[in-house]
Amino acid sequence: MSRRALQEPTFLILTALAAGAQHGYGIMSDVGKISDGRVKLRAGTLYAALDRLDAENLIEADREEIVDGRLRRYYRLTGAGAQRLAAEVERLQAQTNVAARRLDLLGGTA
Amino acid sequence: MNGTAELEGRYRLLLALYPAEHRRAHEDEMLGVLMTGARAGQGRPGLAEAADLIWGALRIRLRPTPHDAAGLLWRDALAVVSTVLPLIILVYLSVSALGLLGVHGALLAALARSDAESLAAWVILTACVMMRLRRIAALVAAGMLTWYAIPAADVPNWYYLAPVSMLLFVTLGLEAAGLLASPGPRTADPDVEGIRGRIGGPGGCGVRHPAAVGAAPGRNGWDHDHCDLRRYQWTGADVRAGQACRCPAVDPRLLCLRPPSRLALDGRRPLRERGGLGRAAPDHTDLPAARRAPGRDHRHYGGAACSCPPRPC
Repeated sequence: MSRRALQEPTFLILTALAAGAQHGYGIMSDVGKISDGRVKLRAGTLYAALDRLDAENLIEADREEIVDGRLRRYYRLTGAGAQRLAAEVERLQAQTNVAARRLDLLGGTA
Repeated sequence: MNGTAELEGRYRLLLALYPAEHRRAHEDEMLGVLMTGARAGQGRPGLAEAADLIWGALRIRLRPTPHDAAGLLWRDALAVVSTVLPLIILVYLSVSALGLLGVHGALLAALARSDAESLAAWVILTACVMMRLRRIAALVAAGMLTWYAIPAADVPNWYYLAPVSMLLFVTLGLEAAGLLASPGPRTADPDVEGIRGRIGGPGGCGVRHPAAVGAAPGRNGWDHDHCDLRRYQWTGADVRAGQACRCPAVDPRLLCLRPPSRLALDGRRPLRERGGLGRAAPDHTDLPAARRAPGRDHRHYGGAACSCPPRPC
């Protein structure tokens, strides 16, 4: 079954969680690092995405902590989330390979 | 109030835009994230941050959750109705314009008398819907509503507008709102997949949920003798909705094959009843007949019909 491609913020959030459970601010920072500062997630976007991913059963709450009097909830990938991310990686890889082959071809003929 | 408490209070104000259920689950957590990310000495949320929170709240409010079955049903019903509605009207209009069929129902009769520009507008609207240009179609519907409404603004009192004109406004308003608030012609969207089984009913014979029935025009007082849209309603939205929603393989554009088949059944009946082709029902919304009625002066305002008391000479 063909699936819609993940949007970049969603892909990056899932990638951040692939390394292990993280809290909201940790995800935001990690997404910045993964994208080399190109994608800057804000809280509104992050929690809209987390809410949707949770509803789609791609992530789930892991644990909660209180740090400096503030609640931190950690999220982790579910099995379905890991599968979805793997499928997306495969899809992107296939496209990247095609692009790389064609660029090689272009370089060879130029 | 110190800067931190002030900033927290302002963030709380923005977070109040989120649905209560979301606030209960995430407010403290989001506040923690926002305060952690705040600069030292920051007294108020940045413009981009505030816009992001408002946009996030809007997205969550507009997104039906799996727990919000009623919201999904409404959205699904609106999607199907907004897809089928212009199509049915256009089919009736086209067939009527060719003189092949007597028009049954006040709205359709009034539309059939409308001018070429009006027909062209319905063609454009239907084409946009069939091409799945949802937002453009919504704009067209809103434009048509304005086009019909501007001449009617000359009417001294909305009370004098014929019910059929009000029905036309409601129809176009419903079309625009339905296209904006639902996937519209994209009824095969995975978002509606979860409720296809519920909305279709046994055998896929039609929508029986009040959301779909209520969303279809013609109910709630409009389908009396003068505005009989029952056939129109059953011809289109009510029955086709279930089929479109139940079968993901059905391209909504294939729905255009169905109204003509229903026309063969429903359209002929009023012809036989009235005993002739193209004769409109003599009700008070039929302008030629109404003009002959004593004591009232009827005028045609573009596509909108209205009736006013006689003006003093």
